[in-house]
Order: sequence, then structure tokens, then C-alpha cells
Amino acid sequence: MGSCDYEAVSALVDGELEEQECDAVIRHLNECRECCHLFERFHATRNLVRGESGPSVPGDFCERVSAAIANERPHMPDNVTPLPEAGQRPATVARTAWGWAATAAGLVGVALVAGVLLSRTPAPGDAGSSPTLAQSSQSAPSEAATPAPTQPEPENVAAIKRYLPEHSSFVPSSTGAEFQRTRLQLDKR
Amino acid sequence: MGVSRFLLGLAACLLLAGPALGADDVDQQVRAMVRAARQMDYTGVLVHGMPGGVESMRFFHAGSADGTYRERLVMLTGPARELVRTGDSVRRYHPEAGRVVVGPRRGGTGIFRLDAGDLERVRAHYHVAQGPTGRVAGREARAIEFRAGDDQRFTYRIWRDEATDLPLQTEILNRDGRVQETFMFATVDPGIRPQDGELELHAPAGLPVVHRQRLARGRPPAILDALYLPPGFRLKARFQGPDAEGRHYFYSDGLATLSVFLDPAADHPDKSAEDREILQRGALRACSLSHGGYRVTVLGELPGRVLRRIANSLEDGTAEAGQ
Repeated sequence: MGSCDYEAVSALVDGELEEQECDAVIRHLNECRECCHLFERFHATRNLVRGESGPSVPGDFCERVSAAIANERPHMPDNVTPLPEAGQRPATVARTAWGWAATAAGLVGVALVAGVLLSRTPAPGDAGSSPTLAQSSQSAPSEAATPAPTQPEPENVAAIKRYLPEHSSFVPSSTGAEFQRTRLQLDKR
Repeated sequence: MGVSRFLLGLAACLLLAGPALGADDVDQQVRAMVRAARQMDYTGVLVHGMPGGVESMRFFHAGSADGTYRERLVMLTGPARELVRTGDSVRRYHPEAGRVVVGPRRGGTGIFRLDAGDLERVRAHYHVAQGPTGRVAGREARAIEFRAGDDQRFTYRIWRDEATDLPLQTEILNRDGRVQETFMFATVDPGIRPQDGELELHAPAGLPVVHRQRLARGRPPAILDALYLPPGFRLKARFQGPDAEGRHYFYSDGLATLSVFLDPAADHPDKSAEDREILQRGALRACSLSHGGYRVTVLGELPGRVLRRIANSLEDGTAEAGQ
């Protein structure tokens, strides 16, 4: 699927494509923003028609898939052949395409789990600058796609991350991205 | 007429008796849940969800009739950290740090931290009530809500398996009823006893082992004299940190927890903006300040302004003492 094939995108949403056809459409969605947005719209329409009120594809699906793929590409094995022989699809390419699809599916899965499990607005008394779930999840891929320059971690953040496992009843990961920073105003009462 | 009066009186009796029976019923359900969480055998996959991230872990729990239990958590996302609780000790493997941390165990299980002995205290600060019904991990569940009795803490909603009484999910809600953090089984197999190997810490041999010791009772450092604690919070445990000079003071009201870590450190003459932040991760709020000759780090599942007040109390108290 080198050029835009809207029917194929629709068929993908409806689950009517064979495995090899899926590969081609998914590869195209990775490259064509217009078709990716079309995929979003088809998906939303299908849910409306079916009356499904459950989890749907997030509005920023395309951006998140693109960011995930941008992160995935450097990890491609060196021996992957990007251009297959005419009429023959190398198995490694097929696996890679499905690997990207799996990445996309994983992203969607995590987004849906997070969306279903959690809905959050800042609590009264919390600083208003704290991003909501939607804001933080949207910002995550762009941060991943454009790595921030490494800066020494402030001492307060390092201390909090160091002590998180001691406080918690399990062993959470403590990457800085999972913390939201708010201003502490030491008002005198 | 006589019959209708009798029926009216009966209805009034039932209405009056209803709440009392309901409270007893909920109390029994809570006790059954505490018992099941400790005494049953179960394995499953736990999911920890919060704004900004979802983590999952494999969970093995071997209970016994006397309430002692062994359990192991293996992180499935991020670094392959592990935690094993056995007897009075807890052992943690941190692969990214290349070390094992061994220390005394605190109360509570991985899925439900409430101790039966804390129930009365919890009732003094939370309104315990029956919650909605639903499904968790494909099982029919009924929630018990521990509604915050004031604005000093969050509300907890615990989903109990109707078939086994096992707690299947813990949700922490703010006062608007918004879920801040959830901890739930994605899949669970009650009645499956883990094998011995599944309850052992899997860490490479020869790793350095860091020991955390329980601190002997004694007067806490003066900086804690002015520490503000929300009503119902008590000191539950005190530890010596992995770095020998550090101290960890652990407080709880039975559900919510608060940790204060003290590390001797020179005061920063100029308090930068970084020193005046609260970091937030799900229901957890955290703050670290350099003050009174210590790096003071406070972590707790508490509303932001409560944690702010706790931090303020440390600063204000020592400032007043120094005047």
C-alpha cells in the first residue's frame, strides 16, 4: 500500500484484512498522517454506530504511535533488510511491521487501561499547575521523541526518588517522568 | 387498624435497626477481608495505575491459619525489581542499583495494608460504609468505602471478592471523588499455593546487601518536636536508613501512611525554588527540604496542602526554637 487506500484503512478498522494486508496498511499509517487521522475517525464512527461507550482510541493516537515508532526504530536489528526482493517479503520485515503494530497496540492498551482506571483533576489545595492525566499522557510521547538534555537532578528530587521504595509497600519504578511537580508555598499561618 | 399500626411499628423498628445491622455487617466484611488477605493462598498479576503511568507486577502469596504469611512481588514493568516478605523481614532486589536491601517488615500485605488492630482507629477517622458492586479480575466484587472523616486524608475504596473475601482492588479518591491511584488484580487465582521457589528472592549471587535496622526507642531528633501530624496518625515504626546516618520515621492512621526521612546535611544558605516543591505521583505527595541541619524528605498519601502543612511545621518549629 504505497499510496492512500481509504477502503483498506476502513477494512483494517473492521478487521477484514488478511495478515499481509494488515502489514502494508499499518506501514502506510506509520508514514501517512492523513490516513492515520482517517483511521481515528473510522474507529470513532464505528464505536458510535455500534453504540459502544467503552474505551476508544485516544484522540492523540497518531502522535503517540509516531512517537513510539520513533523510539522503536533505533532498536531495529542491524540485519533487517528494509527493501524486500520483488514478490517476496522477508520474514524479518514482516515481524518488524507486526512489532510496530504490537507497539501501537501496547500503547493503546496502556492508554486505555490508564483512561479507564483513572480520571483525575487537581484536588483543591493542590497547586493548579499540576497537569491532568490527559495533559501528562499527551506530553509523554513528545518528551520521548525529543530527549531532553541531561541535567543534574535537583537534590530534593533525588532524595524523593531514593526514598520512594522505602516508603512504598512495593517496589515502584521511580523515574522522574512519573512525578508531577507543583509549587510548595511555605506560607506562614 | 391494629394490624396497620403493628406494620407501621415493625417498619419503624426495621428502619432503626437497619443502620446498626449494616454497620456490623460492614465491620464483619472488613475483618473477613483482612483475614483473607493474610490467610489465603493466591497468585496473580497486580496493576498499579495512576496519572502518568501504569505498572504491573506478579504477586505470590502463601498464607497460613495463624495469620503469618510469605509473599513475593516481581515487577513486570521497568527495572525487574523484586520484593519478598517473610516472617519479620522484607528483602528487596534493585537490579538497576545492583544491590539487595534487607530490613524489618512493616504491617499489611501488598494488596491491603490495614491491620485488624487498627480498625477501631480507622473508624474514628473514616466513615466505613458499603460501596457499589462490580467486577474486578473477572470476579464479582463489592466495595467497602473508608470515607475520609475530614479533609486531612483521602478516601479509600476496597473491592472485596464476594466469593472469597479477598481484597481485589484498592482505590484512593480525593474529596471530589476522583480516583488518584488504584492498585488492582488484573488476574488472580485464589487457592493456588505458590511453590517455595516462587516465594524466594531471585537475585544474582554476590550482590552487595544493605541492611536497614529498626531503631531502638528513644527521643527523636528535636526537629521532629514540632512535626504536625493529621489526627489519628501515630508513629508505627522507625528505621535506620540504608545510609547509616539516615533515619526513617513511619506514621499511619491505619490506611494512609506518612514517612519522614532525616539525613544530616548542611543547610543551604539560599533556599532555591527546587527546595520549595511538592512532587506528586498518584496519591503520593512528596517534599524534600534542607533545614535544621538535615535534609528532610516527607512522603505520604495525603492531600497536597496537608503535606505542605507538615513541611511548614518542621520549618516553623525549628525557626521558633531558634528565636
